[in-house]
Amino acid sequence: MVQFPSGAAYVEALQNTRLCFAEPDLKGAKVELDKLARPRPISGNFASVFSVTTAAGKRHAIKCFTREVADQTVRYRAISDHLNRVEGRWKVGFEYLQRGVLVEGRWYPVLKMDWVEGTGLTRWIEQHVHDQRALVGLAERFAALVADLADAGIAHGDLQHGNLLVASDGSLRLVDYDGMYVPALDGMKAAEMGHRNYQSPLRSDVDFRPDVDRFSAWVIYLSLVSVAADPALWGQLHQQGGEYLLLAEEDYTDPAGSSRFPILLDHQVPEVRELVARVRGMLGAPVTALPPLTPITFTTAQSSGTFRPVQPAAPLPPWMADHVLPTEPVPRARFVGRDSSLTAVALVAPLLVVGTVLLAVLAPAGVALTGVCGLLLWFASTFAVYRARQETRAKRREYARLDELDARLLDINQRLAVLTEEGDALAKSAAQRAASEKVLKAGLQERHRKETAAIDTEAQRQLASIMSRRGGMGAERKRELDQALADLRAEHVRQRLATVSIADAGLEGLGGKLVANLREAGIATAADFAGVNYVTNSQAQNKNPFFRLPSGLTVRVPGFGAVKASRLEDWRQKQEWIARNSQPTGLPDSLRRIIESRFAQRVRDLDELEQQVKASAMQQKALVNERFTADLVAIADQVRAANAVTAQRRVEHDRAVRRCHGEIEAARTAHLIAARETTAYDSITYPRFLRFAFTGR
Amino acid sequence: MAYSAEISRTNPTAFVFLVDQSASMNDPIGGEIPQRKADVVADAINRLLTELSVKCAKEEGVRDYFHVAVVGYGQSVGSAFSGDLEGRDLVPLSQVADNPARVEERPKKVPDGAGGLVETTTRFPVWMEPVANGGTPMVRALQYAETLVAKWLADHPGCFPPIVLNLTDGESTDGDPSTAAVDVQTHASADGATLLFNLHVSASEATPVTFPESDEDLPDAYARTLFGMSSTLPPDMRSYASQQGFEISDVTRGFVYNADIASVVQFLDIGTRATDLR
Repeated sequence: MVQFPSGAAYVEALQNTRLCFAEPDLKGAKVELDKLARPRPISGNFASVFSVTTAAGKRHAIKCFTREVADQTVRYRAISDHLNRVEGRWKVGFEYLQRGVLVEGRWYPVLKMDWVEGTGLTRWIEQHVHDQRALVGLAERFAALVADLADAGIAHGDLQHGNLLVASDGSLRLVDYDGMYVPALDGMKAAEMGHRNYQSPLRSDVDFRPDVDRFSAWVIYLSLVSVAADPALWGQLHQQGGEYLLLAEEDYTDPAGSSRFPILLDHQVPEVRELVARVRGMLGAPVTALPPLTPITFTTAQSSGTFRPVQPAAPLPPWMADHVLPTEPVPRARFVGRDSSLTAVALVAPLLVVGTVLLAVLAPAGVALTGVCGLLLWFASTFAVYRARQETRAKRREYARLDELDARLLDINQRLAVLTEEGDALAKSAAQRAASEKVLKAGLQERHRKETAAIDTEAQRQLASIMSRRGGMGAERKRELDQALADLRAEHVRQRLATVSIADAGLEGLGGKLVANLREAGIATAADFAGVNYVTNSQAQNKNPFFRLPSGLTVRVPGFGAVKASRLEDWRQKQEWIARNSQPTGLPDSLRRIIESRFAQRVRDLDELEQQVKASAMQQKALVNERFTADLVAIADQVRAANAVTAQRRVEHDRAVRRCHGEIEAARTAHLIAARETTAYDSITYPRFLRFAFTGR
Repeated sequence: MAYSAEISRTNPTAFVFLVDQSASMNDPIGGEIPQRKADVVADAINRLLTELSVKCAKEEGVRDYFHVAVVGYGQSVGSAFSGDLEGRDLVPLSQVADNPARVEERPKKVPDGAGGLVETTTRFPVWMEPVANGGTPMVRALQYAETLVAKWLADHPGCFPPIVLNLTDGESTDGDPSTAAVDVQTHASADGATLLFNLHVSASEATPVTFPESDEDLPDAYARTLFGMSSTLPPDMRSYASQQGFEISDVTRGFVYNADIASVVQFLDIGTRATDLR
């Protein structure tokens, strides 16, 4: 698939026409520029078009394609060949140039077209909205154009306001032939589907046939005729800037919900009603079953024979106030047809008056009263005749219509008031919902914050305990090493002392007997006792020595008095001092390593515990986060759904309001016309009738 | 069907571009040509604004099919327009088109069609200047976008849903952007929820991951976060992207990771193809 340059890439390339064009007359030609002094494009879905004027002064529209159209070359050749054999003022000359424009070193095709001077259909209608004659003429020319295309076996493929230009003489020009069907292209698919606001909802891209324009033709024709019949429809149904005339895609896809169909279907001009009913009836029909456009016959634009348009009445809505010509005064209604019976009735009156006066003078009061009664009777009967007159009935009808319109306006205004209330309620409930969502979300956030904080607090507590245990470990380790050294030293002393025999010591006064006694008590070496306690004997007034054994027990050894015991103890202390002199100064490495490794293991255990605490906290937090996110997403889903529903309601509400405004405008116009017409009957009054009865004027 | 509303002057939609302006945007982008990421992104946005203006140009001028906001986030969060539009948020496209900060004369060597190169100049409108300093307050940026989108939808309940395009090069520095991203997407028109697309600009030579349909092949948690923040492409964008040669399914997300210059342009092109314009 060929990638085509973008519109902006063409704008860039066309800044130098000497480089970008190959055609001799386009080389160096002048491109129309925009406000930024860059080539000014007019873009569509498939292409950007530039206005290029050659040195010779001929103006062209150069169409640069931004998307590949399947079989473009074949299509344009076939279209060109076919159009060459067809007559028609609507045609616009073009040339398909294979080596058209150079962009970024590559050649792309362009369509070199004659520049058409004309006004787009929408703008033309805006300019002629009150020129019924011009609108009717254009509708007729449009119908003729559609018939010409059909006769030539051509379908344009995208009939719409943007592709119809009106020349200054009022003739139509048809532009943009990208989607055109000509017989030679039979069997291909449509290159484009046409403007959505002009297509049958059932059209698909396989519908590429000579009759694909039918629906759009009906839609355009209907619009032209309707605006001609009632200019107010343009203001009611066409939204300024809207890419449609009177009807749009939403009307075709949902005619029941359409705000525009009812206004046209109930319109007071029968031609409008009939045309729109036909189009309404086509919506469900397959594209192949649509009838060709059959135009209605206008006697002439001015005559009011078959086509009696609605006259606009002042004052008008602001958008059309500028366009309206002052309306002619309404012809006044008069009493006509004074026949002989009416003359006769009229003549009775003077007789009655004269008679009554005479009776009043000559006759008794009772008879005179009869005369008065006769006079009253005369007034009553003439009033009855007045009431029954055709002119009076017409007046009543006009006033009844005015009342009816008043009632309708009241009704619509009431509906509008209800709608306004509904709109307010909608806004209020949406605001309430938003507020409660905020509360809900804030609650979730608060819960999440608390849960996270609780996890953090617990983890901090555990980490602090680990930290303090780790901090105490240094002192503990020192203590343990000291203890080990102390134990080692004590053992050294003990072992040394154990090698020093008391018997061999040769202590003065410690003969074999005493040594034997000592042995008897389990004391043979310096290691076998730790010291001597002296217990004062109260009776003997002397101190008795008790030997402290390593087990902690004390023992009395026969034959030992304080003196000898003391000598032995001194000896032992000396031996201990000797032993201490050779005690180890430090721990041997092996022992130290054992202790150190034990502590290293404990540090590692603590590290591991710390990691576990941290990991567990993270895991718990992840779970809390996960749940929090899931809760938020769940709320978000609800909110999104609710927002979509609200938006849908608001769209429907806005549509209903627009419809009401349209109806109000229509009813107001009708009311103005009716009110103006009632003024014609100002002279239809009973006194005037009496004058008419007497004078015939 | 969602994401099928007509885009027209009477029913326009909104684009919000969120542009990362953190200090790291000063780094060069991955790929052969060494260019600052900030320059590449600003250039791509300026080009896109031109492209949109051209696309919506009609006989009488540029039509307001779109209203556009360009929001920068870095040292601060706010409008990134310079010149006459400075400080403005959503601006109708016709006003954007007519009010660039300046029009640059850019010299350019172009092929002459006969195998040679010629020097020519082109006029290039500039709306935003490259900026790079401060952190990456993505959460605030998304909240800013949310405010714009909510206000837009209050006035345009029937529009094609607004599109938020986030272009960033680093992790958010003001918290996890996931919930802020979800919040943006809760705002809906009758035609569907707001779309959020994300693009991550790479400084490495890594291969770009374009429009993925799952987060399986993404390299890290950050990439997966951005993936999770991104909306799936609506039908018209899917078909356009597949025309552009991407492999696309129903669950393809509007997300590009490790983008080089070409994928930045493609991302903006595809991410703004809402639907056919009329």
